[in-house]
Amino acid sequence: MKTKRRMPLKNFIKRNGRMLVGGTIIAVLIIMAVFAPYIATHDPDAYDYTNRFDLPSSEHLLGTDTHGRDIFSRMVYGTRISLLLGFGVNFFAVVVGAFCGILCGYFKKVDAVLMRIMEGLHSLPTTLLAMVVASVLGPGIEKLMIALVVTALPGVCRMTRSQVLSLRQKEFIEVEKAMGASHLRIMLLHIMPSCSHYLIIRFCTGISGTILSAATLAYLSVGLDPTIPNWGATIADGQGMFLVYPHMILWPGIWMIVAVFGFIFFGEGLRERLDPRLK
Amino acid sequence: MGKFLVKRILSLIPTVFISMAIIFFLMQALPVDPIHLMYDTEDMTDAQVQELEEKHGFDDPAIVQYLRYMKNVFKGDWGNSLFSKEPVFQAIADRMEPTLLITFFSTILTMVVAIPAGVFAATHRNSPLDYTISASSILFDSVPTFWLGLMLLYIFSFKMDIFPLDGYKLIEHYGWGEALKSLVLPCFALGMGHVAGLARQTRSQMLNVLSADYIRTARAKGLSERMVNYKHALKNTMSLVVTIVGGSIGAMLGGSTVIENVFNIQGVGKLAYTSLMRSDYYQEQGIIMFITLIYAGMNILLDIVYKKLDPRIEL
Repeated sequence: MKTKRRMPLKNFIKRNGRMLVGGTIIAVLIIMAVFAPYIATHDPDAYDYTNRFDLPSSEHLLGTDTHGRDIFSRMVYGTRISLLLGFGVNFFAVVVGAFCGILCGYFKKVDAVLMRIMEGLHSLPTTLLAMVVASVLGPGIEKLMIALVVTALPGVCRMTRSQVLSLRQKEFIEVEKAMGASHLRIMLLHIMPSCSHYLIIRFCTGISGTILSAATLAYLSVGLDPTIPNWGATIADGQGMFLVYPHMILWPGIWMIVAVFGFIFFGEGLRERLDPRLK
Repeated sequence: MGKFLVKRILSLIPTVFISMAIIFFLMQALPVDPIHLMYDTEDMTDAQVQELEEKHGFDDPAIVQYLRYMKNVFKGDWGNSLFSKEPVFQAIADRMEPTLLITFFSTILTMVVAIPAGVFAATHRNSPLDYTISASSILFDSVPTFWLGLMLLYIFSFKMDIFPLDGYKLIEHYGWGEALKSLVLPCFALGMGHVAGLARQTRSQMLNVLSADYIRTARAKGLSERMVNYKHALKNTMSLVVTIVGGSIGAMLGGSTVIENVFNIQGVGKLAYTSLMRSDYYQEQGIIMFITLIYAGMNILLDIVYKKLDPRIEL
């Protein structure tokens, strides 16, 4: 019997360094989102016109904005929306995209129709497409989520499709077919698991981009009710007076960079571990 | 090459047709009635409104309206803006100067910075410089474009007073010097986000190529390291780099909406934003059509380059 040897801690850190750094940042963000009411120092929506444009201090960690709202608390609460969108959008994009991709790769007739639509979506400018879908649906988190899923869909679909096309040629699928397995069985039990690590990588590497796009749309005040605290809107709120009070956008921006950096780092680390092409 | 071009252009037509159908039907779902935007309908009777709707064909099924719209587009009539009542295409033509220049210079900037960085990182794999390039490219990937734009404005326009604060200066009125000066910051803000991705992709592709058999052969026959890297490896890396650049041009054209808002530039992107905000959907459709066509055209150009670099490619 093989006994599992324990990896020395140093090697473990060396191999998983990126995932550890990224994972720590993500963990802090998740804790922040879950316990936002306990971490925020002020009510994020409380107007305080006697304390407008306060510089960062021990009272207001990142200062206050045009309406005297505490920027730190708004960013803490904003984490909820960013994470919800980051995880939600990529979850649905991967699930729906993989479903479409498998159908496309498996059935020629579906491929002819669905891939055309996906290509049509793909050749539209992403930012504008998301803006149009978001304005058609109106403001709301779930609607913004749909808009962002629509823009992410073609990529996932295309990736899964090309995987399926190469898998279909493999012997083990041919054997299954010869043994009389149904299409559904082959798709669910053989093709799906073989694609799964690509889908997991896609899920993790997609989150950073989604958080940035969601913030960009919120900055343009498309898709989200601007009174709900979120990262993009906080920067948009500060924009009017930022030449005089740059702290209103400086710190929220750095906050976002650290968060997105964490997700990219984690995703890249994961890709390095999971992607068979990189081994 | 001629046959290849014709085939490539023909294959584009259905894609553009479907792209525009998606946008057209989405716009139909906007909660606005075009008649009320086009005319002052307050004093009209329902019958009069209906008559106008019939005149413009708004009561036809959506698919009929779409086919009519596309027919007009190919004839050169892109419709009139619901808001300014001016021809859609004219409004785009008036504003495309800054947008196209920003996209062009951002692309150049991206390539000039990213490709050498990626190649250098690959040829000096696992050196401190490789790590620095990788880390800074991830860092730049994390920076929101609009935030970078605002910070650049604050530092270089407001504090240091090097670049203008008040948007784009048209070539016609201010000359090339002033115009280019007003584009430096927007191009930098837009380009930096794409530098990171391109540098990373160049590096990984270059590493792939460097581990190929023909590179080993080239080394084995005694070619200098420089010859191997720059003549054999780089040329094969470039074919993939070209496709990535094609993709980022599309993203930049779309991203002009954001950057033109930050820098208050009256370009096509800004027009797309304001049109959408006031439900001017003829204008919006026209702009998306325009961007999709330019993007498609750019991709054909890049395919030609691609085929020149790698004649084995069948498209």
